[in-house]
Amino acid sequence: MGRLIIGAAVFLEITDPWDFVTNNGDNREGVIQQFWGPKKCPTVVAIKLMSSVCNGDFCISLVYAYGRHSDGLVGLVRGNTVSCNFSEKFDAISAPAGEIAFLGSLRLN
Amino acid sequence: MGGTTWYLHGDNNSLLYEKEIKANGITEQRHYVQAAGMTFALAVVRTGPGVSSTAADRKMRPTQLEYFQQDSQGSIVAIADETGAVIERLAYDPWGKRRYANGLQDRADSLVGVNTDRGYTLHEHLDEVGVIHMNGRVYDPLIGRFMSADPFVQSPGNLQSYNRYAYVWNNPLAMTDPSGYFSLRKLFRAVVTIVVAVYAPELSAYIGWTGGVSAAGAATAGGLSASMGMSGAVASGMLGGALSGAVATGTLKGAVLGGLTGAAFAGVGDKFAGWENVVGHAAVGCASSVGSGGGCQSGALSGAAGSMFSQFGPQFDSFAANLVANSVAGGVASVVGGGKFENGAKTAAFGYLFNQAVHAARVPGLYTPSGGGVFGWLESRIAGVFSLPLMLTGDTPQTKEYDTVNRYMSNAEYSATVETGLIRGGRPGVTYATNDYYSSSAAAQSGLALPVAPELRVTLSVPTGSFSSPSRVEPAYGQPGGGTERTAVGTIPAKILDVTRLN
Repeated sequence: MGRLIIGAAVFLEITDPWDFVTNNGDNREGVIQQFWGPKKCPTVVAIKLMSSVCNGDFCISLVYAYGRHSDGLVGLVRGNTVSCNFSEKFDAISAPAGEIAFLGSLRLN
Repeated sequence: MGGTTWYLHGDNNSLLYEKEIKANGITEQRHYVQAAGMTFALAVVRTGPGVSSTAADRKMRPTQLEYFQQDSQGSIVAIADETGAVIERLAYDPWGKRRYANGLQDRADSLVGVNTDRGYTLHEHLDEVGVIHMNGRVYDPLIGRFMSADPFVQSPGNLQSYNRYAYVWNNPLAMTDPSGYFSLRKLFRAVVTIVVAVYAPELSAYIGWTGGVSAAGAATAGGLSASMGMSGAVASGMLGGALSGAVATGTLKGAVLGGLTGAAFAGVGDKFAGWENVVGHAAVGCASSVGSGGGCQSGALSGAAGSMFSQFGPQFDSFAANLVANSVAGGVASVVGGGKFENGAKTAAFGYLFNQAVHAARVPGLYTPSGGGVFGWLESRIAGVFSLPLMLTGDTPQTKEYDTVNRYMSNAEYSATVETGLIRGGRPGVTYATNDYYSSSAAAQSGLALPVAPELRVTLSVPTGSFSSPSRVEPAYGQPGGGTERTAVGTIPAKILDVTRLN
């Protein structure tokens, strides 16, 4: 399944940073560049953003999306909006804490 | 995806054999065992690295035997191992989407087949993308549509055939599609035809003549009769005939012919009695037979025989017995006239149903289920179905209007919630909440895998249905997760029930 989504345009939404300080509700468009995880259920995707996301002076244009719930990112291919943890750092299993870490959602654009 | 699979199908698209060479080097040969046209077991022979007869994982053993328990449509609902013990239970919604065995929806689309990817109507589920491989085409059970058009128009006279992405004419409980190109369950159709034919006159008469059970009643039999200047019996016969014809043939032509035949028989019953009634039935039988592509003579004899039998022949207490007797008389007369027994029986049955039965049904309570034998059983079952809506209107179950959730938040968010009456101050996007109770900020951050530590636990009353069912939270941001979380989209009004400051 992962191969199907490489190169796919996606819509990313910073939905719930929980701290109520980060710019919530902010949207970004991007393109999926790579995926990791089991072939049937990728758990991490790398997204090249059309415009960068910043936290203060720290800005990134490549963000990693990790499935937030136990069903992972499998709903993405079906056109569902999936809940994600976002981070600028990569880990093959789960989202690491970083300068930019927020909860959000992802769907194919 | 890795790996290659070969499929071997037998006659009528039945599944026989699959061979899969997986990406990890294991080769699986799957033999589907059949008897009497049903696939009831799967025998797997496995070779390759790691395969051992002592492996704890059954999927790594050299042989594996599974027995399928199927429902009336052939969908696998349970799988038993070699000892007969159930190792997996499966369930589907009417359109084939997997759901939990207890009937709950799988909103997260997380269910997959563990022991086999065969499931709904014995087709192959491609769970990773949520579709079903139906051999000829791929089907999406979420929207109930095929992903490509049907190259065949099954029945040009049926408008449903022209929606070439539709699944089994949008009737998934009655039909299956073994090939991906649609076929019918003929037996089921026959049963439905009998039920509709038996009950349509009574139903239409009932809704039209008993003081208006519903607005729909006035718009059907009663309304039809008023607007077209025909008697209630004729309108009822037309409605019942059209329904029966539509179900029996699945075509518009069948519905029209059935409606005309039903109306004509009822009209004859309205106007004529005795030998005039016999002549009228003969005329209608002739016209109906010709309209169906048969001969006039056999149709006329069938209609006349049915009328004579019902008026002058022996009468039984049971409605079903009278129906069968009339049908047999009509069938025999048809054979005498050079036609088919089936066609004659059908004509006579229509004559009886939309003449005698319709008129009897004018008086509510006159026609009651016979209560005995197969017909009685069938009648009582269907009567139960018809009475269900009436039962429901009399006792509406109480629904819960509000739901309680916890949200772990910052002081700033709490202020915004108090100010606006909306969770997160009405900010756009997805809102997360939970039913979990954590006694400390660290525990909440850990269980919910939050990037920052929350300051408060706020218990909120929200409209029922605002939030999804709970999903388990995966590890993130150095936190183990493991808690459950619910999501909602849009602005959520909330009443604050409790606030706890977390340490």
